[in-house]
Amino acid sequence: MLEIDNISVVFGGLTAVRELSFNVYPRKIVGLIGPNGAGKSTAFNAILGVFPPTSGEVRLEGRRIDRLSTHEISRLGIGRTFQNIRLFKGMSVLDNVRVALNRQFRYSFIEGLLRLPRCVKMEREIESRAMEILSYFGLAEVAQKQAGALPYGLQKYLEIARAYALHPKYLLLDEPAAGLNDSETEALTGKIRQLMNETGCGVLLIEHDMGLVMEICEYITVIEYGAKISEGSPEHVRHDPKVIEAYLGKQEEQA
Amino acid sequence: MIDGYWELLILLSLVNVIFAVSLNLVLGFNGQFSLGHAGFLAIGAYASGVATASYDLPLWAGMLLALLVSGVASVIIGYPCLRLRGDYLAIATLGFAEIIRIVLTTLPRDIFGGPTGMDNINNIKDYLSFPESFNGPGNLIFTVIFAMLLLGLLGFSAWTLSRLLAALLSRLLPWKHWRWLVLGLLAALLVWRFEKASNFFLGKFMFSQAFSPKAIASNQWAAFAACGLIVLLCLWLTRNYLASMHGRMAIAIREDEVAANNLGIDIAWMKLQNFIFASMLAGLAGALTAHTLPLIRPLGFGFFKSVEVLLMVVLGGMGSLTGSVFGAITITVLPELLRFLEQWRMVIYSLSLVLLMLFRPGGLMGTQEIGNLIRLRLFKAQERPGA
Repeated sequence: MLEIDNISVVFGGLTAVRELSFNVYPRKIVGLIGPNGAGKSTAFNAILGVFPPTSGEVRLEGRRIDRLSTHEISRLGIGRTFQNIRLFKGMSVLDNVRVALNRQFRYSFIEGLLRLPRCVKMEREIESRAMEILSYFGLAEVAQKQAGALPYGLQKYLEIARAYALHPKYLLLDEPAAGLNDSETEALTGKIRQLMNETGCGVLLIEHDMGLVMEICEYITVIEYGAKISEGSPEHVRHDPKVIEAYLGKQEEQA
Repeated sequence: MIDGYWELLILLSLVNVIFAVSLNLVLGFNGQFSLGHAGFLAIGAYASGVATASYDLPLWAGMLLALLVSGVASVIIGYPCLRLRGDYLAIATLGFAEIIRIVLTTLPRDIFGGPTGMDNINNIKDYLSFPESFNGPGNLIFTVIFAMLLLGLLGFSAWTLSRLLAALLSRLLPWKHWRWLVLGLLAALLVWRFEKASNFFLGKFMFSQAFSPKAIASNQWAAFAACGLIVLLCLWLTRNYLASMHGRMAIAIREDEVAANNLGIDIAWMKLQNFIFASMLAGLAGALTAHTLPLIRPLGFGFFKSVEVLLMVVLGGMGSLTGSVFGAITITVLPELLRFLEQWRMVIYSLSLVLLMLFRPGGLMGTQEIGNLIRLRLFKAQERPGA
């Protein structure tokens, strides 16, 4: 279980996230939603140690991780994607995934420098594992292409494939459906669900597309101005007057 | 047998290949802007120079010491500085190189030579002793190799020049055959001035003198072979490094630091590791410089040297190993080839660099390696039948 316990993030005088708590469970898709500027991405970055939380705790399977640095947190098994895709654009699609396999197949610097047998063997394993992952996401045919030259939809898939290559226990997806059309979104959600069922990882989702969130999330946390205003099942959240107010504005009282 | 002037140029080209590859590792492959790379060259040069000249250690010990000292220096400078970004890192490394230079001028004169430098360092040829019967054929073989290389280079330049001129001319006046006209004119020029050209060529490469007593006494070929082998070794190691997971992580950091960090890559450590490797290569290049040049002095490793190597890397293409090789050779040899222009030399040299950057902003090779380019060409030719 990934527990976010009472975290706050303060930048100078601005409290971007205020005493936020929620949990992410294995084999469950949890949504984090809120209007623009509500602090969703900041909460993400706080969990991942990019901007460590000012107060509060983040625990992964009972272990505190909020004082670790980003790469240590990632190594413990939290993969992420970015709101505005951040691929290694100049590298090949295959290399993008190979980079992410740096913890599972290791050899020393000297072995790599002299290309000793262990390095050659490991590289072969890395490549076959990377190709496996790519074909799982339907990217095997474009493996040798430059990542930046892929069409937008495939770039989204590649980013998820790269995060998946970390073999994460929890996958944090920042607006995976942004910029995709309906049928692409549908395919993507199917893939995310399939991924979750097959690997048993938990998924935390930030999303603007309310339809998508309502459809795939089992549990939703709604934040506004950095603070939690509602949580519960999609059905519950949908009818919560506070959420409706935050998204659509307050209904005028009828005379 | 090649005359001493060209011998020095060829050896310096080889040394500069290592130096350029070293900066390319930092700048082109890891995206860190270092403006003080000459500092590591100086450290390597003085480490090996002092060890061999002032303390009479053997050459291998000098080189080992150069590697070690530049490695240690890279940790000292890299640990705090690599946390800086972009311009700040450039300024910090620039400051580091200046500190090295100034420290070298103030160190004890009897060991480090002071501001006037050291001229008592043994040349690399002094260390390579072979039976004299080796030297004649060896010199002849290397003379032939270099003559062929130079001919190839000149031919390639003429070919490229004709293409460039034809492109410019057809913009002024559309005509299909400009290129053949230009090539024809160049050929006519060669025939017209054949005697002068051949004298120039044969003067540089003294084929007939390969077996002269003076040539046989020199180990010229052995110096070329030794430096060439070291360069090949460095290129091989670098290529392996870039194909390994460590090299891949370094490139990933260049592409996107935040994403790399979120993939469990320890950015600070990977940058430092890359920097140490690169600096050790620069130190090795420095050691070879010390045993190639007749004199090393602190001023020779100043800001201008850092800019020169930057030029090699940018010209060759940031992120291309073969680009660095071309860049290093071009920047070393081109100013010398242009000597016939006399006072216009530096004007034409700068102008050609400006033109090159205008027409090929990514450098000669971009981020491609020559093997890939050739493969791409062949592949494309297959794709377009009849083209």
